[in-house]
Amino acid sequence: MKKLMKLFLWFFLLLLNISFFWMTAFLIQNRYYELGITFAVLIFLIDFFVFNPKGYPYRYIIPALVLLFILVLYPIYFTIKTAFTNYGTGHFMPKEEAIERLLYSTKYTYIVPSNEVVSYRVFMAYDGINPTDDFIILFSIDDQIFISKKPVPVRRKGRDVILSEGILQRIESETFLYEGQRFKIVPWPSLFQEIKLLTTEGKSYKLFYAFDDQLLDINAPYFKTRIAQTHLANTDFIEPFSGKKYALRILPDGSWGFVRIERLYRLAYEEVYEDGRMKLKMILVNNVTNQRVQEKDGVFYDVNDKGEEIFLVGFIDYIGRKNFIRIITDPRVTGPFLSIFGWTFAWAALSVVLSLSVGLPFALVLNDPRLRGRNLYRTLLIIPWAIPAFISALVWRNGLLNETYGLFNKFLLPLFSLDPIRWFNDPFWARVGVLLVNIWLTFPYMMTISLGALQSIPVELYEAATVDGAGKLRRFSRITFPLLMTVIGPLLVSSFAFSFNNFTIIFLITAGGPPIPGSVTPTGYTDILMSYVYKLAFQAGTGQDFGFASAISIMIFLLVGTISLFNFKFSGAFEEVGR
Amino acid sequence: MVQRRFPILTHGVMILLIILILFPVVWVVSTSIRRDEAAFSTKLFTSRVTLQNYIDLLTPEKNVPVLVQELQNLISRVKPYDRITQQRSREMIDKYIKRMESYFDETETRHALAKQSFNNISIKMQENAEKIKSDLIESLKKLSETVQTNVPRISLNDSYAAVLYEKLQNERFNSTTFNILKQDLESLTGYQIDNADTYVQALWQLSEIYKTKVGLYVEEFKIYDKKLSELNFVAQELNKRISTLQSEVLTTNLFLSEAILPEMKSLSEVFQSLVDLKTKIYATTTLSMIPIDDSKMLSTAQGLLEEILSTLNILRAYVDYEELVKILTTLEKTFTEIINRDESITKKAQYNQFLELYENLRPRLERVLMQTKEIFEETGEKIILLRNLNEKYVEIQEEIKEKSLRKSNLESQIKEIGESLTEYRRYVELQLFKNQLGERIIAVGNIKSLSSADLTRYSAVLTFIRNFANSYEFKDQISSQLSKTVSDLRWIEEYRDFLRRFENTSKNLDGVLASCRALLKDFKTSYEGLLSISFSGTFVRSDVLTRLSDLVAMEFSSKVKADMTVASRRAGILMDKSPLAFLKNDYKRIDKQLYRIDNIWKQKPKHYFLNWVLNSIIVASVVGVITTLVCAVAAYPFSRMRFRGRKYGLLSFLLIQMFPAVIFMIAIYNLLNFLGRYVTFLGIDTLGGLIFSYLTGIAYNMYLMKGFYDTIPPSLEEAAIVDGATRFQSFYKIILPLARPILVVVFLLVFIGTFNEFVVARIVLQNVRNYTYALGLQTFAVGPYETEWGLFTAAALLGMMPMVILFLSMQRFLVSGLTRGAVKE
Repeated sequence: MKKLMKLFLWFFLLLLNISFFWMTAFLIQNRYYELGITFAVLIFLIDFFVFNPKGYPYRYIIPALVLLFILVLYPIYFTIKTAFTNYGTGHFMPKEEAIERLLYSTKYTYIVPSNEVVSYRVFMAYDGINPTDDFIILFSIDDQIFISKKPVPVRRKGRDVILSEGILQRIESETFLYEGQRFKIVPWPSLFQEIKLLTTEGKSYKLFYAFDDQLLDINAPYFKTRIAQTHLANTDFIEPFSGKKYALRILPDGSWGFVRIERLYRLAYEEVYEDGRMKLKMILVNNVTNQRVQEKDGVFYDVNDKGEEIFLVGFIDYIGRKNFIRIITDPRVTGPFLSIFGWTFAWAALSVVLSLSVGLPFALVLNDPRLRGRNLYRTLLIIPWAIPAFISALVWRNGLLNETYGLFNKFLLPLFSLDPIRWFNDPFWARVGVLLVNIWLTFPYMMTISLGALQSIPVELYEAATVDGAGKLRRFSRITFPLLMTVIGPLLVSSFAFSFNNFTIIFLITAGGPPIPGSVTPTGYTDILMSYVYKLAFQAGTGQDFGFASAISIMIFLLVGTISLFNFKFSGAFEEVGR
Repeated sequence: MVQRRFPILTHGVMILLIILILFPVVWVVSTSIRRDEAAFSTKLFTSRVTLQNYIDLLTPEKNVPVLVQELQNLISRVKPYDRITQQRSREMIDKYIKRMESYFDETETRHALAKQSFNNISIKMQENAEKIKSDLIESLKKLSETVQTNVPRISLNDSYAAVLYEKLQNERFNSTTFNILKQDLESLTGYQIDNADTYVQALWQLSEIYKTKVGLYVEEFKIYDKKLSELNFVAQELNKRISTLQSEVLTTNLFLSEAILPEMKSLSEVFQSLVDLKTKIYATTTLSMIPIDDSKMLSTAQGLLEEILSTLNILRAYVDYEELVKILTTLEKTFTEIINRDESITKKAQYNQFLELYENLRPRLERVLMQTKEIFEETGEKIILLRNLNEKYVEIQEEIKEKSLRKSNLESQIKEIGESLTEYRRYVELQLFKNQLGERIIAVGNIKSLSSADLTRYSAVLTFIRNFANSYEFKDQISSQLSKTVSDLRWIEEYRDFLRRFENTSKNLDGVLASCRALLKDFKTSYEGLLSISFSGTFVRSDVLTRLSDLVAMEFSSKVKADMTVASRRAGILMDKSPLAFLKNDYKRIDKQLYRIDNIWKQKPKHYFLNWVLNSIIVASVVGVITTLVCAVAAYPFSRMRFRGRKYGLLSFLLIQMFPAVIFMIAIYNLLNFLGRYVTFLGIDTLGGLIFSYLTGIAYNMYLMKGFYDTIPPSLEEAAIVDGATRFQSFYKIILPLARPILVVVFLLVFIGTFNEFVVARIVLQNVRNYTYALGLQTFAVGPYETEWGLFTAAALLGMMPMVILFLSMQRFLVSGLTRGAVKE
């Protein structure tokens, strides 16, 4: 049993090694160097821990380590790396991929004018009465008949197919060999338009679609959506002898037909003088105009005959400290950024201070053992904390703060003959609104920790103070409050750090709004740094700017890290850890 | 001590505060069971409750519109019905038809029930017409009495006279208003007023008082008002003229600087060079045969010089043409030099050439000078005009300012006077109202039954009182009695509208139902054929069903739904407001039946609530289990062993825990994007991907776990190891079972945390079906659903309850766990 277990463990380790090595190789091959290295380091560490007797304690940490490497360390590295790039809308792929797309994607081809008459017919293998996606295409090019089966992807990025190819083979007789299978054309001999069926061993392909056959129009939707878009969209059909390429295009008359195409760009090299030597540099050249493709600010441009630049494709490019410099120098970024920066601190500090000042009085009252029903009160008061924050935020947003229908504006304010408050559109009130909700959510936490801390204050201190003639207020200010602060101080700082990044409430209530006028980035008066990052990176409609968002993320890292380290220092976490 | 003396007070304050604090929760609960549209209701709570929202969320009923759609899907063999056999299709279609028919039947029976109650109500109302009337009269009388007792006492002085004049000035002798106020008028004037002549005399008398009291101010105010508007008009006209003039002047300036100035400049330069030429000619030696005659040149140059001087004179009046002046001054100098010649020059041969050049240039200069002069003659006038207009404008502005000051003074004076007259005005208004009310009471007394005409009369009384209540600006007993009466009588309007709406509903519902039945019957007889065609591989749709769907979607909502929902709402109000309290049950029944009919027929928004909850539970559980296991293992060496990197490992765990998962989102999003290309279940918009990105939370929990392991005495393991167990066995067999409580706690904490997470899910998930509960709830709360509070609050409560219970049951641990890190034992 024990041996079996050991055998199993060794087997598992072997499997882990193989899979990690494979992943490393695969990732590096796909130019995800950092992730590949992460895996390499991980498997090295794992093996080291397992084979080295001294590494015994570390073996327990392996799973945690794997998760931390992939989900914390790699992301930190990635964020730092991205902060120095222009990664974002329009710049989504690495340069190599952009070049590959320019060289192979159907988007970058041109139609070669020719007198060839190309027509085609699609033959389909049926499953009962349902068409499948197993099909064969017959081409008639200048009265010669060619066959091609379903094209196969030759270049892909993950599941994205950049280019598929189908090889055309000429048919000269009724039966012929294609891809190792014997096919028969029915009926034979006949005109191209009269072929009805293709048979092969145990399978037959029925005529399914032809753009010039009215009777087959009923199959057009299936052909266009299921066959053409998935299998023929990025496809070249190549005639191997002449090397001519054909591809499916929507013709000027609206029908879908095949035309001869050629690639628009080719790879070339030019000589450049660098470091005192002639070197060769890779460039892209337009096949039609023979102009070289320009490369500027992480974008490839083509130049047309009027000398205008045409945007081709953007790629991820290293842009140095530009993102950071932008924060400081671009006035349309700096002003709103400073506003957000200030509000982030105000938001975190006010959240902590105000919710403590609501929670502490409750704690003081509930701490009195003479008060009956304390537990019930406490339980009831904890409820706002217990409710998931997003639910509370939505309830407050819709039911209470809504400018037209909300309880505040509809019932409460008219009671005192006050004007409705523009909770979502007035910068000041929007901030008050989100703070209000956050206080409502967090005061129970403050109450709870204060209560815990109050109970740890020895009663003798109070007795002694009373004997010395200290009044109630004096006892609070001289005993309760200082002792309380030493206990909950670190927790308050943690709370501050938490609020610093906690934007669920802001996101759900005001979505950061109302917007700051004159800003080029998506900013609002209630936005905090973290929500700013979110908006920059993920908000639909404004475009994504991962690079800039990462730059701000790094600032958050530093700020939170500094606050936390100070907190550890003061709360004695270092000593505690050392124990 | 305060607390000992006033424990009740403490409790009271606590309870009050708790009610305030928990009010949002109360609101969620109460709104989730409301039957009406809470967002548009004027009431905070209502007695019309229903569990329909919960039913819609948990077991969404296939009501009529859904059934029609499903039948269509079955016929067309659309997903999810694309894989079933023909036999099964037929069975399902039959089943759905049956269900639809049962819905029609239900609608009919419920409609009949509602009608029954409706008839009952109208009969009872008719029977009790007398009682209703007397109730009505009673409340009107009460109002009348309140007015009577609360009419302010006033003295018959000049102020009153002025108010009286205001009221009576447009009234004829013997008009109602006059008759009501006649007595006061007589006691004011001191004589009997029983014919038109005495009335005119009395009015004249009052008008004199009015004039001194108010009228004079008003008249002066009017005069000022008129004058001001005139002045404003003039100012505006002036402004217009100024702006046309100024644009003309600007155009001229432009012409001067763009056309004249450059030409003048070049000419000046040319003439200067001409002068240079002349000086050089002195030095030449070639002589001419005869002395050259330059008298013409001299005279024209003299003329030009004068011309230049006069132009300069004009120009010097303005500051703005310095450059031109400069050029002209140079020209002047140049010409002086040209004229100033020595006789000797006339003998030089080249002098001829000089003269020729001069003659060529002369006309150009003449023309430019003339143009300049012309322009300035014209512009000069304009400029002067502009100046004058400007002065005038300033004057008028000042006058306007002065006048409006006086006007606003007068205004405030008038207002002050008006305020001093308020009490009298109120008195007069109340007197009038009291009398009119009395008449209304008599009119109501004559009403015999409760026909629709009678209801209209009642309604007129209500409108009369409401209008007065709205115009009555004071807050006193009368106003509260007024609003009470209005609310007492509101049932009249509600009832009238209810009658009309219900009758409409009733009539149209029967029609729509009959056409629906007919269409369904058609479908029943014809669907077999369609189904066969569909199964032969052709895409078909049933026209009958399309029409049925139109009928349900369009006809029903346009003809029935609007009236029905209003009728239902009115019934809900009448439940409490009806003058006959015993009809409450009938209204309730009608409300209930109509609400149910509405639910059978209405198009409900599609949602995936159960999917969402399930997704949340799956994600939260898997994340909980993985995190707990990983942490349980990883915490062990940190608690029990000493090794290199332990301290810094713990510290970095502590530090990492401070960063929320969101901060890594850009990286994790890209990681998922990349992974999704190769491993489908870990991509963006998959639950797997979401679970993966939630696994960042191990640092905090590992720390928690380590804390608990620290409290387990190590002697237990030592004993086990002595007995021959390996280190891992001692962990696995001793520590883990002992640590079961903390495992459960960590699992639950992670579960709650994951369930409550919003932002990461928002980033990772895109398809509505894949949403977690949190994202799904948001879809109930935004966009078109912003005011549909029923579903939203019900869904919120369903998600909130388990979480709150879970949280509260872990309260004790939370309290001690939170402070453990800080409170040193």
